[in-house]
Amino acid sequence: MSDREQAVRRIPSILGDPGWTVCLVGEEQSGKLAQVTAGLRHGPDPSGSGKRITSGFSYWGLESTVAWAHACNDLYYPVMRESIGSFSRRWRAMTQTLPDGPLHYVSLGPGTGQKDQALLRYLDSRGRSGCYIPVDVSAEMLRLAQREALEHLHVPPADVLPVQLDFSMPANLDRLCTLIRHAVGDEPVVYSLLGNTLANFDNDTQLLALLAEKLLRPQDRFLLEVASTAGQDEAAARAAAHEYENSPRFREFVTSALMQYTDLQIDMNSLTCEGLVEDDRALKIKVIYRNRTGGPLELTLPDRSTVPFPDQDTIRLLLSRKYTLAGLEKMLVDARVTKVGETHDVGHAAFDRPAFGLALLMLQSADVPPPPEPRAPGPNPFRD
Amino acid sequence: MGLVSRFSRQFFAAATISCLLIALGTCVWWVTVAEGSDSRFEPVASGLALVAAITGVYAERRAAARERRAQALYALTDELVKNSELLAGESFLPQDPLAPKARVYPRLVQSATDAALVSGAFSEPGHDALIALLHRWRDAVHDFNRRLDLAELRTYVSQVPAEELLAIDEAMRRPGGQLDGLCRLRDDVERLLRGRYGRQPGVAARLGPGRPGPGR
Repeated sequence: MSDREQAVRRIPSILGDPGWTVCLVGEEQSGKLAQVTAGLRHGPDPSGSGKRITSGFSYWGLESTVAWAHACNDLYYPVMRESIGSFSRRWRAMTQTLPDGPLHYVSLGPGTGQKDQALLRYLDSRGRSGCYIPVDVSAEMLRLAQREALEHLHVPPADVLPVQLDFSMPANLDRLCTLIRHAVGDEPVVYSLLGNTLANFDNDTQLLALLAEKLLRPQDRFLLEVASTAGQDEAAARAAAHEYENSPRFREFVTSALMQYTDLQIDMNSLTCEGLVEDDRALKIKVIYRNRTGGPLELTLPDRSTVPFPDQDTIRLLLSRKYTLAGLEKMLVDARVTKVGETHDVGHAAFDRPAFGLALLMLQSADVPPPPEPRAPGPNPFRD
Repeated sequence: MGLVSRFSRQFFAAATISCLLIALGTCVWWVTVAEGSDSRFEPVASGLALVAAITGVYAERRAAARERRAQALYALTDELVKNSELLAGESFLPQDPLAPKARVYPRLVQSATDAALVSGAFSEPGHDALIALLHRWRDAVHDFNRRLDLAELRTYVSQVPAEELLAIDEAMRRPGGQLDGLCRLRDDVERLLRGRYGRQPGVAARLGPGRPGPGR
């Protein structure tokens, strides 16, 4: 027996103590650090398209994880709070579209784990729960999500398999796919990408297409939650940006990555949210840190290298979107997925304010062969 | 010839036996009126020849016909018993709704019916009802066997879904369907054999005690 196998055999007894959790690390973490620093080395761009904290790294690290957990409960950041609060109701409306039998659940970017708990509780109450596999680039976020998701649920430790992995990279998805197939075989899997996470990626359509291509089999389902907008004009874009500006906890969260990876003295007044109309598909919101000191600064990165940060230069801390229905439909078509169920929740807004909401979609691969046409009964010698 | 063909077989039989009986009576009278022992030899010899003709030709023919009819009846009875066993057998039980499967059905036999019809064993008067019933039975068995051929071809030549196997089975045994009609005819044949030919030695014994027909 190899050392590796011996180590694996010891794990079940260790997991008897709930203080321990197992996490599979699927990639080299030092490479991820290089990825963060590369994002901060882009040239000056006052429009917010130069330097950036790439998606996922906003949540990477303990400070960011704690800040995100606080932001989700901030009364001034109602979007995320209401999204979590109404998730159970919206999820139940979707359960009719689930495949039969036991279901395994793979949560891509589980966040604080509260939505995962609603989903797992439903499966558990019907005796249909299988493996729970949360996947995130942040180990701290995984542990937080796992603790929250499994609270008061009797899921055997052997059925919980957290995976630390950046699922936006094709090679990582191949490995994740292999791991999931090993764990669940041919049984159906529900994947989820909740909390408008998809909108944080520059190439959101390509990411959705990649996930569908690499992960989805005909028996699997994909639960996607995105923010939606009914308006598609400059006023709506400004209102969307304004939603993010109000929350002090959210501002702490977005700047936490900057504090972690640079030596910048954070000035909260230098933080702006810009709303843009992205073609006819979405409102795009960029959360930007702008150098408003009136002079050039120098950023020291984790590898001790320095990067100039001139006056009026920007660092994009977060990207988000609110999709129009037409934009959402087009994205699904381009990603080769089809809807099998959907709920659209319109948030509270004054009559003269743009109506923003949340869309929860149950998707399946568009490459699923259509169900065979009901065959006409053949000739019956005792009937004809 | 045209006039002769109009008369039935019974007419010729009656004419023949009448002529022979008249000739025999004439011979008897001749013996009584003949004088001398020598002159009596001729009517006696003719009388004996006529008696031989009556018994040897007519009576023997009737006995042979009776034997043929008995043989046909036994064969019909055995065939009926055999077909009853087939219809009540495992092969014609309803399909398992959860696991229907293609079947090779046994065919109902009809050789005795065919032989009885073509042999003329029941061609004498008094068997019209049996002949008519045997014709209907034979047609029904032929039709049913042909449908079984088609059902087997349908289910064995290509992969047939379970629903279709069940549909074929359900159609075969539906009330008023082919199997139901066949079993009714079988019951009619048995009833006729017991009622009309039950006193014939061997028929009742072959049919056994009265019992309900095959389940359907």
